[in-house]
Amino acid sequence: MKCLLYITLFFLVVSTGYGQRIRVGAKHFNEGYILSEIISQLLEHEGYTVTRSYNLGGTLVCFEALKNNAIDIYPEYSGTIAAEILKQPQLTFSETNLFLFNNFKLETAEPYGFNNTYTLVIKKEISAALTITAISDLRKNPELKIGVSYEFLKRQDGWENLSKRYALPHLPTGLEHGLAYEALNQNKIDVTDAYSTDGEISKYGLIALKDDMGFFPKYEATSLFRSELGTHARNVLTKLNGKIDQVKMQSMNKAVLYEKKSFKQVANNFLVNEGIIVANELKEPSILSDVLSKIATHLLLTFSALLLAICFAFPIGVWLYWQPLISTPILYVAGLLQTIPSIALLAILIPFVGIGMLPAIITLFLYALLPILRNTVSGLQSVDPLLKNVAEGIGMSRFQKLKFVEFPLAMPMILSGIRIAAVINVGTATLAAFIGAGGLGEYIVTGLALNSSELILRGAIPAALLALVVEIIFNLLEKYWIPKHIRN
Amino acid sequence: MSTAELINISHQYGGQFYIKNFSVTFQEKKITAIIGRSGSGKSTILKFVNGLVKPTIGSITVFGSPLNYSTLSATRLRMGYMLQGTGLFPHLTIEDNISITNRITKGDINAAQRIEELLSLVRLPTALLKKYPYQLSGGEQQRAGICRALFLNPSILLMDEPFGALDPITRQEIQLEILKLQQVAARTILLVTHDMREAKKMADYILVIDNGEIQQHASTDEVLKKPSNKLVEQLIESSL
Repeated sequence: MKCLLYITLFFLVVSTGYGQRIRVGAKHFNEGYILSEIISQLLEHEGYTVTRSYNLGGTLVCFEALKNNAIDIYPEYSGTIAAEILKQPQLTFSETNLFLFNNFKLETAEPYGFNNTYTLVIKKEISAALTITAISDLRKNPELKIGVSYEFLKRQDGWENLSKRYALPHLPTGLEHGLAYEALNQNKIDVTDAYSTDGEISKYGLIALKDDMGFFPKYEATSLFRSELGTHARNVLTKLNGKIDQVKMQSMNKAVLYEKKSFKQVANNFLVNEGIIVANELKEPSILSDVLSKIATHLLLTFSALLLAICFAFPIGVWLYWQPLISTPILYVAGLLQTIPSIALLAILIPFVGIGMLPAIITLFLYALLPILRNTVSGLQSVDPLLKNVAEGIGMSRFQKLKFVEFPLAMPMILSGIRIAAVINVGTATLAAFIGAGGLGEYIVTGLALNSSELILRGAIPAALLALVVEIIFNLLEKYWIPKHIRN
Repeated sequence: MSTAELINISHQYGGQFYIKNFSVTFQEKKITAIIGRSGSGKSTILKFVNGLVKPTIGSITVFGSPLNYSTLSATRLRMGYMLQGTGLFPHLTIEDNISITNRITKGDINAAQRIEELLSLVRLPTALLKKYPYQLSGGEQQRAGICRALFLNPSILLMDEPFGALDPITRQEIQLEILKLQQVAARTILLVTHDMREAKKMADYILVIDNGEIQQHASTDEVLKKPSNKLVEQLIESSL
């Protein structure tokens, strides 16, 4: 009876807890982090428990994660939903919503109020001197030097069609997008393409030209969420409707990129300044404790996958050793698994197991399997046939032969397989951050998105050291475990 | 019944019969040398007895009953087995090598006492027990191999060219030791060799085979005095 009570209590706690929990995803670029953090802090302020699955690798991973109930909400752009996800760029905002609901049971909130599309930017002085405020104004000034990114030169919604629509006479030069702002600043070029919310626009005091002929598609940012999301949570989200305009988004991007502020701070400042939440003490973990906790997650990922791989590889390896006919094709298939790019494997798994630790461990497990399996099989095969003969001849059963003779003699090779797998896993685990599994990869992924080498190194150096330590530990293990004359 | 018997054995390998209609009864508690040229099938005869090779046709009787292939381990534990080279396990100490059958039977033998007995039989110092095979000389390894084969005191001992890798002096010593052991407690020993001198020195009976067929099976004296055919004669002449 008491037991029943506890069970009921347990389910009650779990179910209420579950109702309050909302999983927020983020695309791994600056603006994605900021918007997700705004949503997260807003929900937390309203009493929800938020699980942050940031650093999801791009549109595909985010959308798959949402579709497969691995996250509940993430910020997305209307143009991206129509063109990239649904492959129907002609859809309007409301048509997109209908399609999302009917096909995936997903919905969007009202737009936040800014449109992160392509735009052309120009220095404030030139804009003022020549009274250029819209793209069509460029037509009267054919002497302006236009430099655009290589991508913009090729895109459907890029220079070629833009210049046709606006009848622009200029011949643009191609250049790296990263260099464009600097080139503009040094007057090497006068006009370039940009994302309308780029932090650089406000940093360099540039003017975004008005798309007066409506050439660029709309990329309205909004919350994309699962239809199960409760009414209360939806109401909370409406507080963001129309609250973030182009200028605010630009300055938030700038604050993170150039003012060394964290997403948390920037998101918090925004919510407080807008009067959406009341000011509160923002707790940021110290760098050291954060690095340590990420190392712990990293090791957990790596070694649980390794352990799992060992548990599978040993019996399968023995079985394959006993069935030489099928060992070749099976090892071949295992080798094939190894050639799947890890990012692709992670993405493939999302529909089956969602995001987070589980798919990461499964991926790492698959990568660790081959080296251990192959070395187990060939280690057992390479044991001197004479000794196998003796083992049988003196009366050992199949399993005794394995235990007393074959495994000990194959051990150096098996151990080196495990070592290879462990080192591979420490490296591959950094990619697990793309599906929200955490670990040192989080720094690297965030660092890549922010172009911050400091952040990248904060993840890369401990990961490299970890790989080194793992290598050393296995060498020591080998030294103490296996007699020298067997090792050689 | 510490004897072994092969009845109407034919064996096919790679689509060809290379042992044909082979029948032999090995004498109990005697040393029988199985002699023949390389590739004559003499090692295979030994492997029939302990079941490492199952003949295509025919049956085998050991310890008085037909060889049961589903309980081979138990049968093999009652036979000692020594191979060309030493066959000692390189990852185990001499002590563990000698007493390995005790570990696999989880026997209640007092291993330390049994090891001591065996070491004194073959005159090996106990100081070697903690060493690995590679740290021993060829003769010492061979003696350790004998100890391992005798650990469970088997009544049948199978020896496949056990002295092949030894220098002549050590070989002589060990041959004599085996004969001494045989005097203390006689076993049925099947000794595969290609050396007629070794057969002459050690065996009570000689089984000469060639091309998978029996050429002669008789007492050592008889084989040496009255070779049954040209081939046996040649074998005797070439090695004596």
